[in-house]
Amino acid sequence: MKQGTILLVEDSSDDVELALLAFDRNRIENKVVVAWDGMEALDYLFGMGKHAGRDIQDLPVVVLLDLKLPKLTGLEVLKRIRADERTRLLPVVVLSTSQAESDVRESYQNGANSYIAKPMSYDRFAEVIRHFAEYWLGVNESIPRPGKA
Amino acid sequence: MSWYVVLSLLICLTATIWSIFNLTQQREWRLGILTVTVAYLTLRYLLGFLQRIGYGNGPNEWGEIEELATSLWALLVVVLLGQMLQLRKKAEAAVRESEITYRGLFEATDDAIVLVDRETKALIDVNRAACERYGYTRAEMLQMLISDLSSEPRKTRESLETGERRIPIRYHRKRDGSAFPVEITRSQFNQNGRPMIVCVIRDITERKKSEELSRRREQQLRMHNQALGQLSRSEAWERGGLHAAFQEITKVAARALEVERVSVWLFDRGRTKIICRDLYERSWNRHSSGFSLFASDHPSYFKALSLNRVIAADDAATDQRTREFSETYLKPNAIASMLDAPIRLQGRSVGVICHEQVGRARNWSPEDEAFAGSVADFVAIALEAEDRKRAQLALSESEERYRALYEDIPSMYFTLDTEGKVLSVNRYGLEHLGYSTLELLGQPVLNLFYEEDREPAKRHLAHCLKHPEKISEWELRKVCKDGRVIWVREYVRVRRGTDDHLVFLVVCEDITERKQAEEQVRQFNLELEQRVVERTAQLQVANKELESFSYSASHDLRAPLRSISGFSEALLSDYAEKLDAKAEDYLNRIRTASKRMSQLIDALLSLSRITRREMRRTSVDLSDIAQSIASDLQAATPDRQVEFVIPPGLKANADPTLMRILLENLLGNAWKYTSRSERAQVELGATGEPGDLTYFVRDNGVGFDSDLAETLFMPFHRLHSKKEFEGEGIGLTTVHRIMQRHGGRVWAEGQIDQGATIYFKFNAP
Repeated sequence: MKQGTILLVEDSSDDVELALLAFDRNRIENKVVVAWDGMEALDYLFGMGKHAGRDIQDLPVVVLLDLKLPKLTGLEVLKRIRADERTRLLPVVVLSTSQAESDVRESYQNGANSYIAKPMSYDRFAEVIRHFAEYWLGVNESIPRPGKA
Repeated sequence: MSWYVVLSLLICLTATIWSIFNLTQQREWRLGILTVTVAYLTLRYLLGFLQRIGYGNGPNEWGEIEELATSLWALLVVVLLGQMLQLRKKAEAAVRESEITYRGLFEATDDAIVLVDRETKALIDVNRAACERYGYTRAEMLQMLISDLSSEPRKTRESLETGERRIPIRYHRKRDGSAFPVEITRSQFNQNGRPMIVCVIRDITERKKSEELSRRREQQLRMHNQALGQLSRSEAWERGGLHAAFQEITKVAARALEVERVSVWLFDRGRTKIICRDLYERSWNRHSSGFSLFASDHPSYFKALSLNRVIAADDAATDQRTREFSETYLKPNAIASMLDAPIRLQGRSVGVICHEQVGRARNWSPEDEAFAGSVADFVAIALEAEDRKRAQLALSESEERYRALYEDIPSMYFTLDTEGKVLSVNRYGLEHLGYSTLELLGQPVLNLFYEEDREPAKRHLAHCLKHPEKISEWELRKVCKDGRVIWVREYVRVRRGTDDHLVFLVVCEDITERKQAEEQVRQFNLELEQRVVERTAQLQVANKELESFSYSASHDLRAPLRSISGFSEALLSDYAEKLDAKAEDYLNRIRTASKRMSQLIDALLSLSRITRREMRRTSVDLSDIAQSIASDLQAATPDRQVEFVIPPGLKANADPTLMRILLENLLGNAWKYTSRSERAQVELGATGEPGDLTYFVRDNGVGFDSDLAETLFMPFHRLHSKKEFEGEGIGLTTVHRIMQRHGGRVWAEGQIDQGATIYFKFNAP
């Protein structure tokens, strides 16, 4: 398993708690940073706002991005990530309650690496999170982070 | 001899010969002798005178003539006396003979002859007829006076004194005391110096009787004639109609015929009975009507009605034609005699007039019968008059009706001559156009048309004239007098008029309102199209809104659900050791409920997607789709054994995606509900004509209560509990919605445990 931070962009404290529970259950011990809205997520990635001064070279291993967010929507966040050279290749996995075809299509069009629909059941969700970790923290090879070769 | 001697001789001779000839003819021989003697004496006197005056040759000459005259006179006297004796003998023989003849006559005659002594009034002689007539013997009668024979002896005595020759009527008395009328002829003569009267007494009983009879008959005839005259002059049926006529006829007839009851009866329509139209009762002077007599009850009478001119029943109770009435009619009304005359109209008997004698029977005379027949004829005349009156009334009414119809029907009627000049217009036409008759008659009809329409109208009329067999029609504009322009529809036909000229018959209707209505409809349609465009745009906006609502609903509703279910599961799996059994149960309930709600939201969303989807109809192979769904179902549950019956090439003109969803639902249901059947079978098929097919999906599963077939298609309505069969209750609602979108329909047939068949049918695209 790769070390490194997982950035969880999620406005619902319930969903954050459930996600953290699922990580716990699957013994995923990576650091999880929670951004409560789209703006905060970008602040974190680009060292702005309350994250000003953070080493922005230290990118998360993967971003778990909800689509329905206050202030800046998930898709807007995704566009900004892809638009910025520094984060253009950052793995972003959309984690949404929506199964609407339009949401899925737009996410991929804007450069999402994967799209996961949140299942209703917690057990199922925990399983989805396990698969997610196995793949993105295990199987998947990503571009080595600058400064940490 | 001198001339006057010759003349005297000639006169004497001529007088003598003429006298003898004349007197022998008259057998007055006494006068003959006297005449001859006078002639002789005259001649002698003349001769004496001639001798005295000394005329002639001498007294000898006159003596010869005197001797000759004396001889001639004596001869003539002898001849005449001889003749006289012979004549007397003859006369005596004649008297004897005549006496015998007169005696014979006296005895043989039917008239009673009596010889009365004028002074004693005693009967001197009577003939045989007298004895027979008076009932006495000859001996008895010769003891009687003439007054003993008379019922009026004083009159008889008086008349003997006056010596009347003829007594036209006197009543005499027979031996038995009965009186009888006689006519007496008397003559007087002397017998042996006693004045006698011979009376020829004629019994005139029979003559009196027949005189009385003919007098009565005459009187009756006069009454009959008066009655008929009165009827013929009567205007009752002209003024008062049939009822009044009948009343007059019955009354007049009852009085003229002197009967108690007269009634008029007419057949009903079916000729099964006669109905009394009027009955007059003379002693009450009243009229009544309304009773019936049925042909079936009185066959002989009804037969007689059709055969006889008059039914004269002197004794109605025994007469075979009328005795049928005896108990029911004659006795209750005390009718003794009937005189009934059938009423004939155009050779058909239409009824009967009855004259009924109450009380004593009556012998109807031929005059009575003739009168009854005439009265029946009057009834027929009254009926005819009524018919004629009614026909005239009907005719004039119908004429009036047609006239009114023609004038006031809300159509304009024109007749035009071949040049298009107006010959006539009805009242409505005049009023509608606002012209007077004078303004239109003789004017060219083209002037009435709107200026632009005059040319077409002219063409139409010309065309009409070329095709007189057809009714032509057109719609053009006309102008009223006040300048108003109206649309008219005209129907025109050419006909030959009474004077052999061709005329146009034009029926013209004002269709301005219709034209306006048409214009309004056209405007309305335009507006409607516009409105549809607007509405469609509005709908599109509404659809967009709905879509975004559904999207956020699905997201926003699901988020809290996920929390509920997520945390309850987290509690169950991660904190299991800290929960007691009850807490665990509650958490499970929370989890199940939230899961169910999530499914409902999903179903709702999919339903709204179907409603919103854009539809494209094309030829869809239902068999292909069904096959693929069947394999999916089989693959998902490989342990189930279900036989799918799907004929190849079943096509429908529909939206392919929606058809897939439809079949998924129907086949999925069938699959689900056959799970307990031993030999599960699911069939897709179609019935009906190609192009008008009804499709169906049939299974042999648990079926449903047919009473609830209607509710099957209601959203979230389930006929089975969740425990029995999984499902959201949205499948058939979805099917229904899809068929609705195709403008088709869907319905279900089934019974519990008998399987279910869902039919669906498209409309023509």
